[in-house]
Amino acid sequence: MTRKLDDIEKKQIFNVPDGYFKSLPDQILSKVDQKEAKTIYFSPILKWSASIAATIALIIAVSIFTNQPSTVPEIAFDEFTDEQLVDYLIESQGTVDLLAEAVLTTDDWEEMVSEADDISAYLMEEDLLNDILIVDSDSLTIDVFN
Amino acid sequence: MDDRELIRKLKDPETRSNAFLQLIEKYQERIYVHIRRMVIDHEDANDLVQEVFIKVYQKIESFREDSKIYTWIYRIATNACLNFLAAKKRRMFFSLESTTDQLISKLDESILIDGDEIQRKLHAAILKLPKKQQLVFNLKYFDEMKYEEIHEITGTSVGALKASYHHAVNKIEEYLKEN
Repeated sequence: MTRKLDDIEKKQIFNVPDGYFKSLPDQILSKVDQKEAKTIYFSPILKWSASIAATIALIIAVSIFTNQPSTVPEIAFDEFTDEQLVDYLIESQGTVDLLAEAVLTTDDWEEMVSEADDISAYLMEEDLLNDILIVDSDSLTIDVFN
Repeated sequence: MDDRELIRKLKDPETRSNAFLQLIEKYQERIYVHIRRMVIDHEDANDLVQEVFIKVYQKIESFREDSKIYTWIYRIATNACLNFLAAKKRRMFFSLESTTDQLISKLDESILIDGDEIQRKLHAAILKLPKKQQLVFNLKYFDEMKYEEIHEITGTSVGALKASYHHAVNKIEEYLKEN
């Protein structure tokens, strides 16, 4: 029985289909071409324009947000008569039902969280997370192939 | 064309395509076999070797030339294999069969594997090793690389690589004795 490495002939045991290494370079080159074709290039001018537009949008959003009244006026139920409240509930029945249907149950929420976890786990497993967005710092290239 | 000239042409957009073709033709077989030893299955090795060369093309600008280009490609290939095997292990979490056992069974089942029983047994013994020892053993024993080159690929110190190889040989010979 062989027990030592030196007793074993060093041999390549892995075979490939006929002509495999002849066709492999072309397969790789065509994939490189496909990836390049699906790559979106942003010119430096577009990159700066997008940055300026995003900054202006942020300033507007912050100013709108900070000008909102800080407290919502409180309405005491005592100010309404029972009749007014009943009328309101009858009139708004449709809306109330829709709202009631839209409220998520605990199970719904858990299912949503679980689905989100599954998606991120799948992406991690397939090592896609790194490939989804490859940003080249020089030309701001976003690779959308994967 | 030597590697230094090849790298220069790879980094020049005018000559990149032709240089890339030459790079693939020069190293495809070595890189394929390196990957195949770790993942065993031809289809998986085929996907990975393509992925590796595409990454080489995309990242060539960031290659700093403080190592040899083929050790850099080996490094990309090794990472691709380790990621692939880790993902496979996670997918097989609930399987009764381990990833290693599945790879070992492919050694006997695949029509694209020959060699006599003892050679397949050697590869089974290698697959049983921890990934790092497996890697060091393959690069040293089959590819006959110097420890300094393996250091460029793995980033592990030469002393630690020597120890890993020594442990790997002992475990392989132990496996061969028992099986």
